[in-house]
Amino acid sequence: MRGKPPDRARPDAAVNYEQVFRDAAPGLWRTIYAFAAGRRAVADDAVAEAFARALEHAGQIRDPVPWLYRTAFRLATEDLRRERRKPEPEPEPEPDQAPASAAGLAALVPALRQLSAAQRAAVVLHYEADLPIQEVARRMGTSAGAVKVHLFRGRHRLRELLGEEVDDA
Amino acid sequence: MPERWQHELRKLKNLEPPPGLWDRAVLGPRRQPARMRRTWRVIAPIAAALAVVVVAGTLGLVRAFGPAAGSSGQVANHGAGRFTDPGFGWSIRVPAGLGARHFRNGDLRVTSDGFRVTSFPPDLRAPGSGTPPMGWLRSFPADGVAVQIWGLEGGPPGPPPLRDSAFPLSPSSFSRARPYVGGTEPRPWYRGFSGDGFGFAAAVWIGPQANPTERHAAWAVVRSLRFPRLREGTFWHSTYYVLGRASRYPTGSVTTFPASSLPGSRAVAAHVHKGFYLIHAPRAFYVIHRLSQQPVKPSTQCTLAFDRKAFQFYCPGTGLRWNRVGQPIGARAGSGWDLPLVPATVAQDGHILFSPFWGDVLRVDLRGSPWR
Repeated sequence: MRGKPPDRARPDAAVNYEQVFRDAAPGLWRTIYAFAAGRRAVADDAVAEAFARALEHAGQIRDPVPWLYRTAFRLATEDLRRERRKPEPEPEPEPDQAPASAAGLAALVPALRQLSAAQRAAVVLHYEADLPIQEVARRMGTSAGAVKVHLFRGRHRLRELLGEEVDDA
Repeated sequence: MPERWQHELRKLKNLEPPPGLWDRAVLGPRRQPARMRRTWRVIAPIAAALAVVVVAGTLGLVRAFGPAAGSSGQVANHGAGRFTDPGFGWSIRVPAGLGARHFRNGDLRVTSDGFRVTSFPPDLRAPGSGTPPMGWLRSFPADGVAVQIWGLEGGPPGPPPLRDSAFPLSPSSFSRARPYVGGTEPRPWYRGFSGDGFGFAAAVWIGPQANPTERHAAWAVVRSLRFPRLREGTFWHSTYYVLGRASRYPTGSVTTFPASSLPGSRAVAAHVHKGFYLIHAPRAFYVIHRLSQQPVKPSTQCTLAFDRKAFQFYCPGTGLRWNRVGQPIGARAGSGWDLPLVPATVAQDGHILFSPFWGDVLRVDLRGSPWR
């Protein structure tokens, strides 16, 4: 026997999830927001549900933050998949743009939509949340090699879509 | 100076989650984990065992033609004309009478991207879970024809092909998908192929009552498939260096590509360190990285040099030498400290493609020596 699953090997019942929420929720929410290409409702639901499940399983989760990320990614993926299965109104509804515009993201959100979900997740975790590649891989539940490929392609695509230099004008 | 995309990305910090999320979390999970029906609890282990047997041989087909149904497209392009894939730039010509629709589906791990061409309006609302979703096939009319051409991004990476497929794709190169795990639609003609170094798949469905004109039109779509010409000195699809045309490197030649001569950012250059050697053997092109790391003293790392007279690679000043297929010779012969050989691809337009990402992880599988 080699051991128990890593996230449940040594549960720490003393985790203060309210503190974890204060520290991690803003970054997690922004990541899921970007991962869902600007669908605010998806980010809200996935983050709230991930924390709800963490609270339900408190004491069984050894490392809450990566667990929360993986859970939120999974929930958001389910939502996006469900959204695609719905009858398609014409034209396809845009994600809610108002908060994106208000935050100056009018250029970024459409560009993110041109990336794959994995590319969006990797780019945001690495470049916005400043996480090292190994940690990005842990939070996405994938390998460091795969993250590197997602990062490279995502970066390349964003450069194509948004241009290379900052416009000083 | 940050690039524009980095500048834009940092604006995400302006966003804050809405108030009340913690309160929602405290109320408890709102979604119930999917529960299997009792019948399925009995059947599932048997089905899983059968699935393992089937999946082992037909992983690609199962992914493509999975039993579930469903589909959605992001870009609708109906009618005749030439259609170009926005990602890889390949194109097809769609004859009159057929309709084309681009699709892009996927999840965190695998994304499918391609074109679906049909003689009938596909039911894109049918539920499905495959990648790409194939639910639209469940309402396949007896007199219908359909063509789907797609690529998968993500999932376990495979080694680069030694050579792209020959275009146009010949209908005779397709074979009936067997076993086919779809629904009641006609069993498709299927094949995988390589274009500009990437793997794709094509499938053709022909209803039993389809008329000869539409049958011909379906195969005409397949024959019309073309990939874009590559440009030497570029970094194709963030994956491959586009080197010169194969004819520029005679059989038996070894060509040095210093890192400074390669396009792309410093991040890409980090994957090739000191550049690489491109070797043209009779059976394949392959690459040996110039930076060699050996688990021996006195040198654990060196920049390989090439001795043209002896046709050997060596670490200057160390006595370490390797033959043309990277096997150590001299005192280290048989030690197993081979140089990694990385396959290079002859693209459909004759250019040589080399991906730095596979350099350190995959050994070439040529089913024998590239020199025999």
